[in-house]
Amino acid sequence: MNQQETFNSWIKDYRALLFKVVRAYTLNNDDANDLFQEIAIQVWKSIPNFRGESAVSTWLYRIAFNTAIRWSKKEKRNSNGKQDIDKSAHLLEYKPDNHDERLDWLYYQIAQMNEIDKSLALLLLDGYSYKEMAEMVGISESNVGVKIYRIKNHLVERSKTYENHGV
Amino acid sequence: MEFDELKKVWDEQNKKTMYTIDESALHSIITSKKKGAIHKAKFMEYILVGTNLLAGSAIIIAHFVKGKDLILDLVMAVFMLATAAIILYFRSQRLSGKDKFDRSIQGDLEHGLSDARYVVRMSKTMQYYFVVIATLTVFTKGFENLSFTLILIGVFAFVLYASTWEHKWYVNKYNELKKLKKTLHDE
Repeated sequence: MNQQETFNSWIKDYRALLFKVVRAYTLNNDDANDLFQEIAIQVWKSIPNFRGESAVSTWLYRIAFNTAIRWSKKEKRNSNGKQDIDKSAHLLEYKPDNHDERLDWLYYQIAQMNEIDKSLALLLLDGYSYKEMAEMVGISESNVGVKIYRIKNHLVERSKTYENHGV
Repeated sequence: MEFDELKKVWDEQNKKTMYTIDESALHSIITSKKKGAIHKAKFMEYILVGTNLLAGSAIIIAHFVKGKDLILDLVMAVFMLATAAIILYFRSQRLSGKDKFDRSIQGDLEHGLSDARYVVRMSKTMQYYFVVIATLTVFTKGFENLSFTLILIGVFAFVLYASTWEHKWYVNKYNELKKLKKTLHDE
């Protein structure tokens, strides 16, 4: 497969993975489009470097996280004067129908976390091992363990508030 | 909720479509940039060829109809007509070169960059060209009347100043494409 075919195939097969990262790092549709576009560009340029030493999903998660973290920092810097470049087309359309409000709440909670915790929360919920998380996020396995313990507790505690108020 | 329940909520989303995606949108973003660069090149060519042909022809007609015997008039007219011809040649070169770009994202990006570079070079060359034309005009028309000469110089200075802003705009558009290419390939 050439670069274009690989790109199309990855975007098609792993869109759910990319959407999760996009949604966890953004709070509105415009930002989601902006970030997805950044990730798509990074995925495109990463294709020649992919040696098949890790699973495609792991590779894409790593690219998506790195891009999302860079994007978040850039957004904070440019929040007073957003650039209009590359805003001509929207790549994503959020479909709010038929969704679980608890999932919205969960994404909101993840969005409030710091960059590393966001990544770990997504990987935790997607069932990755501590070892895989450590490789993808770039911190030690023991550090992952500590952070995951806190993230789990935080989410469970916050969910009690959610249940009490019926949000 | 316990964590297992949260996980179940999370896993449910894999069975649903949260977003629809326009798979060709990324390509169309680059295509729109390419079209923008082509449009600017075409617009610049039409304007420059049109004005040079009209002005050059008008000077020659006036020269013979009014019977003025000023050699600078003819020099300027020939210079303008030659410029129109050269731009038409550059245009044909630009158009014949478009076949070397394929219709992939990369090909469209290279095509856009090529035309944007062309526009930037043309815009810079036209600034020098304008200085020559302005000088010839002052020499052929201006010195009949001092106040008219001063007005003429003022207008030309303003046009030259405005053209530097226009040139900067083209350079910015070119740099945007270069930045996109760098993002795609070099980082």
